[in-house]
Amino acid sequence: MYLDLVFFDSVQELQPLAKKLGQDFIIAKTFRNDFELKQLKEKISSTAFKTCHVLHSPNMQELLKFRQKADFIAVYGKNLGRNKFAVSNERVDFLLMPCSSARKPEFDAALARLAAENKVCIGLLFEEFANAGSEGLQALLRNYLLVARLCRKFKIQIAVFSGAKNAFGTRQEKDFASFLCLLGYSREQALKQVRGLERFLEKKGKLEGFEILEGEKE
Amino acid sequence: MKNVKKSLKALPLSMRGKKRYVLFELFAEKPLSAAIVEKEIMQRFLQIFGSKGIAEQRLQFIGFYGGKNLGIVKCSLEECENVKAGLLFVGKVAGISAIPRIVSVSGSVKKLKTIAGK
Repeated sequence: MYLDLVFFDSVQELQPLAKKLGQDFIIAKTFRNDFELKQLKEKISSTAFKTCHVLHSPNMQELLKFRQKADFIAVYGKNLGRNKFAVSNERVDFLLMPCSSARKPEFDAALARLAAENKVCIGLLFEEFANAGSEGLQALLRNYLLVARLCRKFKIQIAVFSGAKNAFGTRQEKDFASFLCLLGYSREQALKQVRGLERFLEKKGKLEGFEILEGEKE
Repeated sequence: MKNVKKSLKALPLSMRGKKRYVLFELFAEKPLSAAIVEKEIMQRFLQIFGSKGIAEQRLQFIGFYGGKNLGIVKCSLEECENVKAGLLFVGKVAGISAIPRIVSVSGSVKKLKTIAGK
């Protein structure tokens, strides 16, 4: 089963989408307290959806607080400090959008090496590319071509999520293999990345008893 | 006039280049029309890939089944992945939000029309 990361928690909209697109969702949010996380978990208890706490600052206390409670921990990048914090910490599962559309990318070989050592997955949010506009898109693509090259060199798991803020922002996760081809991956490499996310998370101990679909035809 | 060329000689099969047809679906609240979908696709591709990119892709809009919101585009084999990625950027068609999904890719349009017809 494919996993997509979204930023809205409307279960009424997500459930039919999960069935239609053949994937499950990780609901990402910056939870203010345990109660909010607990409420969301109760809401999604009848589904196979997961929760993810997103950090917007390099806050170790916040990370430790939500580490055992949320299913995943993500750090929203676009900043050298946050990127360094995320890749230096093996408790972090995803580093979302490490680069902005700035002239100098905020991700380099040193950070990539650390991300590979600590098994941090680089997450790309398709919504940001789709809403970038022509100038923003060329700057984003320029930076993420570099990120993709570093991920290939250092064998870092890369994942493309829709990052949707509403139902119409979601996409079928397996179609993102084509987006990885746009970033310089070969077709085989891209399919391996898209299909390998569940196994990567399973090896990290974040998913249990997950059925890996083998020999699935495109 | 005697030796006027009346028609173009057909390009040999080996020089035509390999092609692929991509069947895509747009989940939208309302049925969409072929004309506006074609316009939106071309605009988005122009924004992402530019004129040269579309020329290299040999992108051609084949048809759209308005009732099921299924469409078919033709592209060159080498640029098939880029075309599929480009289709993911089509999120709004004339103000109507839509979720694009790649249904199938085939070397012949007949097979896709059969899938679309079902």
